[in-house]
Amino acid sequence: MPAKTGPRRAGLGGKRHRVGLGAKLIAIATVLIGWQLLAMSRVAGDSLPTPVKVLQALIGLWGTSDYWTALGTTLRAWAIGLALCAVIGIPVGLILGVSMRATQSTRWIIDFFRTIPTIALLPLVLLLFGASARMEITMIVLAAIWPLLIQSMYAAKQVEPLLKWVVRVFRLSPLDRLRYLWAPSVSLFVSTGMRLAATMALLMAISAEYIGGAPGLGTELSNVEEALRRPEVFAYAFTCAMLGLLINVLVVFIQRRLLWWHPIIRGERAA
Amino acid sequence: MTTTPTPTVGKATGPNDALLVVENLGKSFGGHEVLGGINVTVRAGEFMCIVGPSGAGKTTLLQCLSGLTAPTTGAVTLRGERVTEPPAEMAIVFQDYSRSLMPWLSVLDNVALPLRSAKIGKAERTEKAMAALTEVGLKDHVHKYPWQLSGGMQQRVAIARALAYAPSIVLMDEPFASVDAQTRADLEDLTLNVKRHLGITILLVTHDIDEAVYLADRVLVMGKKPTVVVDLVETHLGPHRDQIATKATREFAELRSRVYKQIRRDDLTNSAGSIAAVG
Ligand SMILES: Nc1ncnc2c1ncn2[C@@H]1O[C@H](COP(=O)(O)OP(=O)(O)OP(=O)(O)O)[C@@H](O)[C@H]1O
Ligand SMILES: [Mg+2]
Repeated sequence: MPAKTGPRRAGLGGKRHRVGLGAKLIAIATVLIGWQLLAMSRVAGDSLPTPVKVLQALIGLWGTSDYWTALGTTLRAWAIGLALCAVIGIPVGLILGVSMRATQSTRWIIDFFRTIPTIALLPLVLLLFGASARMEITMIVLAAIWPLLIQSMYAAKQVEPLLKWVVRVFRLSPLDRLRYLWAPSVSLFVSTGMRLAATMALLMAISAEYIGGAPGLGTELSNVEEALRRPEVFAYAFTCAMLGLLINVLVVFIQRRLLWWHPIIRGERAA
Repeated sequence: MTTTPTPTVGKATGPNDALLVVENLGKSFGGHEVLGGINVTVRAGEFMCIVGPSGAGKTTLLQCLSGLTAPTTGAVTLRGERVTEPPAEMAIVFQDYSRSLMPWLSVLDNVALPLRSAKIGKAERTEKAMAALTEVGLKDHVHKYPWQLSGGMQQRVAIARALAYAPSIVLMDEPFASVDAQTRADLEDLTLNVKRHLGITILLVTHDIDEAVYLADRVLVMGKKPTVVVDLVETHLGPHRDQIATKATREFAELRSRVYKQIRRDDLTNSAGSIAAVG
């Protein structure tokens, strides 16, 4: 295991370079102008609304209660699903990760379930729970628990062996070992697992709504699509995208607040 | 492998002052024999230094003495009780000090953490940790984090953590290996002082023969693998030592060359291998 100082494998996507705000704004403006031009040209016909129309539709939707109810419903299912993933996935992953034998004997089962495209299980889950929030939450757990489980398994193996000896030598209680050794040691990998799971959970929430008909943003998206209200389709799609972005930013923020002491986070900051 | 039985060197110790008894301690890692039957009795209140070539198994020996690793053969007893887990009255300063500190805790919290197992309040824990950190000269760095300190300072944090725990026996694995000469001399004297004041027993592994002779009441010389005790040298240098005066005495020079020859002899008979002879 590498020392906790000095160069280390890149984590969290490696070193980031600060890109100026100006450059970002220019990139966004370019995309928007390109979109506007494309929408106005004959190539797209009227299947592609202009960004201005989409913005109008979005502002229009903000005035309706349907929009906010759908957003709330989706977020609720997402949060419950993600919480269930955490409550099950983290402890199970850590326990399996601690023992080499447990890791090896369960590895193939986990790999098997992980590789099943979760959406293929939708008909089964629909049969069980109907087009309900329960169905949606079940789908979320089935899809999002795997990255968390696997990251937690790795996390358990990352705990510095010498520190395990240190807590033995100084005879810390099991609770203190959990609090002062295990929790900080596994936090980087577990929080990375949470980040992956949070994104996956949102993806599955909207899919389960769109395809499976559980109430939420996905159903609204499917409704406006059937009504051929194209700017609204884009407005809802935009909402889903922003939600995904926001969730990611939030998790990264929490991760940095929690792990400021970690060599990887420190290195990223220094860069 | 060994044709001659382990020589029982050094004076026979009375049962009264035997603190840690090591009997025929052997350790193999998957058929690879590292320790080949170590016999030694550590007296209560003595300062024992362990020297030997790199890879001889000094770290392995300390691990077995503390109960962190189970020996393959033989046994370790502390005050007559078999050691299977680190005893409450024992503290260790690990060789790999930087990995032995918790990067998520401040220097002060690192030192105070072991005191949680003693049932004392937070204020008292902080007070004791502060005292230990002051002792090693880190009073002004207590709110920093280990990774903000130099290697030598981190090592001193590890030493302070062991001292704050108030053990009766401390195992130290090359504790001064990464500090400059002046700090090293200071820490050696600090360790001698602490030992004298608290009456604790110290087992210290070092590569430096001068350091071993300067600090020790007895120097245990280990050979090459599979390792046995080659010599156990009583220093008779008294409780008060001085970096310049003590090292200038004839006794010191004689002890130094005796230990050196023991290691050399073992080194030559086993061909290759090198040791750091002087610091
Ligand atoms: N966990 C382990 N598994 C396998 N071999 C080990 C293990 N720990 C130590 N060894 C082997 O035991 C031998 C002695 O190692 P040890 O670290 O005790 O030596 P040392 O005397 O402390 O050396 P140094 O002075 O370099 O610190 C080495 O050959 C090492 O490879
Ligand atoms: Mg060693």
